[in-house]
Amino acid sequence: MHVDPMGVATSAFGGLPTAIGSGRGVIATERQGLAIARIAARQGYAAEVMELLQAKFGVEPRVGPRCGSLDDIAIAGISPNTWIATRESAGNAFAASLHSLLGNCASIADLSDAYVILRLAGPRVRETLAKLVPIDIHPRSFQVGGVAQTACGYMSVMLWRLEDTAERGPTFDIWGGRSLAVSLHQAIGEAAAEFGFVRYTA
Amino acid sequence: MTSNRLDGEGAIRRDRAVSFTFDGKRYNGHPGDTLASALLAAGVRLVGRSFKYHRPRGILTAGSEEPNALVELRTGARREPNTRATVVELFDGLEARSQNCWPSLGFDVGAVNSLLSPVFVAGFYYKTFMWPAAFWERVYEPAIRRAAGLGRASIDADPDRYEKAHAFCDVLVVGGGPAGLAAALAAGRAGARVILCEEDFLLGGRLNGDRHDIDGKEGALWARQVADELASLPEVRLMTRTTVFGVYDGNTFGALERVADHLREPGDHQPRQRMWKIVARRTVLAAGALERPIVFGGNDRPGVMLASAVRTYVNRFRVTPAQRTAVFTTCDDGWKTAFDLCDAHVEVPVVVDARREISAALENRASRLGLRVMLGAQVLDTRGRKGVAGIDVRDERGRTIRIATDAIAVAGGWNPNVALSTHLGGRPRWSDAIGAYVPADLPHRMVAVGAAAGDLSLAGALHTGAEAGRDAAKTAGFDAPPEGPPCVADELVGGKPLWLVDGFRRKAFVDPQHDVTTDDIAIAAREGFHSAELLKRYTTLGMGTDQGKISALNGQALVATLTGRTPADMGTIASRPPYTPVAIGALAGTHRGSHFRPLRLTPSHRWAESRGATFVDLGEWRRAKAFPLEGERDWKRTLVREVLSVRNGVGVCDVSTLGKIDVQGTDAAAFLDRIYANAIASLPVGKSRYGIMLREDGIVFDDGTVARFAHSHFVCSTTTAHASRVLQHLEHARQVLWPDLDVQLASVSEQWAQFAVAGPRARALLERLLGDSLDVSNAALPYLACAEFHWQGRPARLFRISFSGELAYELAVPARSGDGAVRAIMAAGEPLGVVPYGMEALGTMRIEKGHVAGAELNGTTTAQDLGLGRMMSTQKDYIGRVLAGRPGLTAPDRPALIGVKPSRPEVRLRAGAHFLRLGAQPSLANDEGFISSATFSPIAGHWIGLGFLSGGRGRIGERIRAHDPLSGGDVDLEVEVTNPVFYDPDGKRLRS
Repeated sequence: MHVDPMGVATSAFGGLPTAIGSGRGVIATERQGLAIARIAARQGYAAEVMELLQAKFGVEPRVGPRCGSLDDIAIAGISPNTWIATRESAGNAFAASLHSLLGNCASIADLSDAYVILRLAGPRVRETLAKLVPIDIHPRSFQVGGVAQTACGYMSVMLWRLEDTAERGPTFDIWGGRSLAVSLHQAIGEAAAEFGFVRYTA
Repeated sequence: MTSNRLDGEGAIRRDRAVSFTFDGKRYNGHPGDTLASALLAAGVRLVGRSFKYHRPRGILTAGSEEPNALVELRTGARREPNTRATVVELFDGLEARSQNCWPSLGFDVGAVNSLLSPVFVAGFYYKTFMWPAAFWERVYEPAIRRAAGLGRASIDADPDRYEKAHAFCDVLVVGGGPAGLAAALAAGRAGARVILCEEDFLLGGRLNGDRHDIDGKEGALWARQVADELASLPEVRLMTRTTVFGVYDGNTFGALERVADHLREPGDHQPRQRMWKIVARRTVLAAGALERPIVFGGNDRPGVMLASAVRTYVNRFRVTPAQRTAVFTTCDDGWKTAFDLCDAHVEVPVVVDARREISAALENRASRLGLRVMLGAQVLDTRGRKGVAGIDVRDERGRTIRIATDAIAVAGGWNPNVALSTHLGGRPRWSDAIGAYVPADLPHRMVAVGAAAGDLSLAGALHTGAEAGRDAAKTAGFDAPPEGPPCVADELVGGKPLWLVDGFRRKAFVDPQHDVTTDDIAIAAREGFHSAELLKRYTTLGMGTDQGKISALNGQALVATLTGRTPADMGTIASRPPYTPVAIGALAGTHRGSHFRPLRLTPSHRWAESRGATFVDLGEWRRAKAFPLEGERDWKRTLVREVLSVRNGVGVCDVSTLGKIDVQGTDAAAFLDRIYANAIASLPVGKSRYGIMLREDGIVFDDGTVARFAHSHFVCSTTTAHASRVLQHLEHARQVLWPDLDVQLASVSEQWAQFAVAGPRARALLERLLGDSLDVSNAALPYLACAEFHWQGRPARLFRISFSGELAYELAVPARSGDGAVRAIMAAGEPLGVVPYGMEALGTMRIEKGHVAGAELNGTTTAQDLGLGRMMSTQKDYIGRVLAGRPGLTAPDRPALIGVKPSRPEVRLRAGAHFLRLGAQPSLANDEGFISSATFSPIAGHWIGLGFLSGGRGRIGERIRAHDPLSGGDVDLEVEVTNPVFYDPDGKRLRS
């Protein structure tokens, strides 16, 4: 007898409130199905790794806490000679494909299941983030493409700043550990409540 | 009761009334009033009773330095003691009560203390409660505790929310008076990111309390216009009702924003208060100055007020403290109060100036107004019962004259508000020019301006403020052309400090909040407590909620005078954060109750909930404790069923909480060989091995399994508790100790959901579950084998390892599939009678098997102690090897791991019990070890335990005592020392 363990694709935030407070000061969207891989260059191979990634995906891996993206691929520097690469709807095969691409130049770890990611936007998103993360998120300091590994309510999180858009305003992705999904949601919801918080599932 | 409200608007909204109660009586005020101004307007002078002598007290100041007018605000769960009426913004429905009085404010029995004041002098406690020593704990301390404290805090849970926030700026301006506004404007116009914090709800500082012209405009109007301009600048944040309470390293400041204190209760989802951590590249300290009282007889009587406060009440709130108000000053500034009162048509019966000579301008104006002026004179005493009714003044010829007045405005000079300049250790400098301390040795990147820097003129404040704002912006890269300072009239700011009036007869208070009198100071001086610090501790001068803001210097100067020194010789005390009291709730923020800390849920959490599991919070994690069946009300019954079901059939348990570290790189094997005490490099691909790692000091740090999936790819498991610390340890080793090794580490703990499938039928279950995905036969997957494979289109891993002592596997699947996987395991195991088991059964089975866990890996035990000494390799070097060989860690009498069982099978063992030889007295000298873990063993049918005993396994079979006076169970039990492995000591079941 076989039961498909992938049979039910559930939201990490299922059962949690989709609106807190009144208004739409902060609009959160759960990102689902993102393939995530951590790429750490083997000693002496950082340049090769960067070249191979750029050649394959057209995205330049950045030195330092910055991200670049093209189409469904994004690559962010997270520590020296280490990057996080993401691809929309690519599944666990993405990490395997990077392993094939980079061979012995890099160590790859599949982290597609390790994170929950909320895309945060809305007119009051910066005021909300100021309550959550101890870093300067002023547009002059944390620019588009900025990536920060920081803390949010005693949880390790990663924050990416995406392009502002006319429709959603300033936009950030906040990444937290999957086991902490409920606490992360609670912290963000509480911080945003006075401005009005709504959550959608992509 | 007469109304003391004057004509005119000031800064209040006269067209609207706000209703409030004080001690149950209803009053009206206006929006813009403080509780203090509204009480004064209503003619209420008696507001509270003093701490020690229960003396009647009124309102002394108009700011956060208020020592007297402390009230209880609100009721029920929101009841809040020691609120300063001078900073409470009036709101409709406000309820306030006086405190420290019984049965009423007017008639307070505690006032009898005042009669005993010759007894309650400085050092009373130290001298009185010395003897007999036996009385201290039972009699003295409880009695003192009952008498101590001020006000009653609510004992109900605080219904409000508090939160924390972070802010960053180029220029932080502390204080929104003229200097602060000028600084913020200059920096803001230049384009810098500016934060201006002002504790008041109105910007302007003394511009609201005094009458000034700036550029031909009223000072208060100028302040409003500047505030409007600042509000329009996109990079400027104005934070009123916000106190910068502390300065910390790294240009970091703590600030408390009272978001909803001025409302009856906070709005939906609105916090009551918000604690800000502000990081500033430059800071302008524009905190102003605090007026100093003069010490004379009866100077604590309601009606005695600071002269600047009187002006604030008159000009800002349009309230006079009384119908007749005398002025006692030692400086030019005090005269402003007399003139403002006259202009407001309040009778000023006399202006007493201790100086013999004053500026002709003052004398001329006084004469035009027809004021009675006494120069070279001093107020000796006040008269009256619960408020001032008159004063005794000694004129320059030494005659004492009695003058009727209802209030007295006292101007003793100004103390620059240096507190924030000293939080990082800076000491202020004495200035003879103003007779007070001024900031010196300021924190890095902080500059003081205006009155805070000792420049007491408005022109100086505006000029130094603007200059500092411009400079601060410039260093942050925002240059702006200097602008001419606003035009203001010259003013007189001269003065001469008067530390003590000579010849008073009544009690004279130096620190009214702690009832420290001149007599107390004199005793301290006589008894040799001459330094500022000792003076404070001996007399409690400045130890109240006001932290000596208005009293410290007077006390220090008095000791200096009494010991023939100057205040400059005497020195002052360093002030520490917080500048004004900060509620504990604000420090906790949102981290309270169930949100005290974040909680991690296992991948199977929702499934476990659906199975009716009970849960236990262990460290960061909430884990299933047990899965009781319907009708199983007894934990032991559930435990026995779960354990026996695993031992005889098969069970499943979520073990995802164990740390998982992915180790890759060409030197991964060599790296792990240096990390673990046992050999890892020799581990074949496709196998796993139990490993222990030591700390640098030779003590066991953590244990777990290491699995090798490829030549240069390992996955290490850690204990749940040490998951992140082990990663840190490995990162330290990789980055600092051996940067030459090619190793990459990644935490994959969150990536994998992992389930232990244990019991004799575990293989049958996996065969049903995995089908053709993986061959799980004993031949293909022997004990300690591991495999990577694909299952249902997703990657999966299987480890044949066992914590329970049974044939067991751990199946790892990507975390998002964890919920589905556990349901699939249950479905596949249903015909086999699979049961889910929780932490209780897991813990029991590992004790039965003699496996060490957190209680044994407790940071004091060596591998030898744990019976794992043979694992320590002698063929290689590794972290902790050298220090593990220290004599103290290898001593043969160190307590080592053993098992115990009770001599009488029906009794319960408890962890924590200490081992003694039979008949030995329970003493530290006779202590031989302790029980670290205990459980009821379903297999043995009685309680068993693991523990550490001197002599260890050499004593198996011996009977000893387990002594436990603490847990409420049997204090003394006889136990038998056994092998720590109670179950399947040969490990046959593991390999079956």
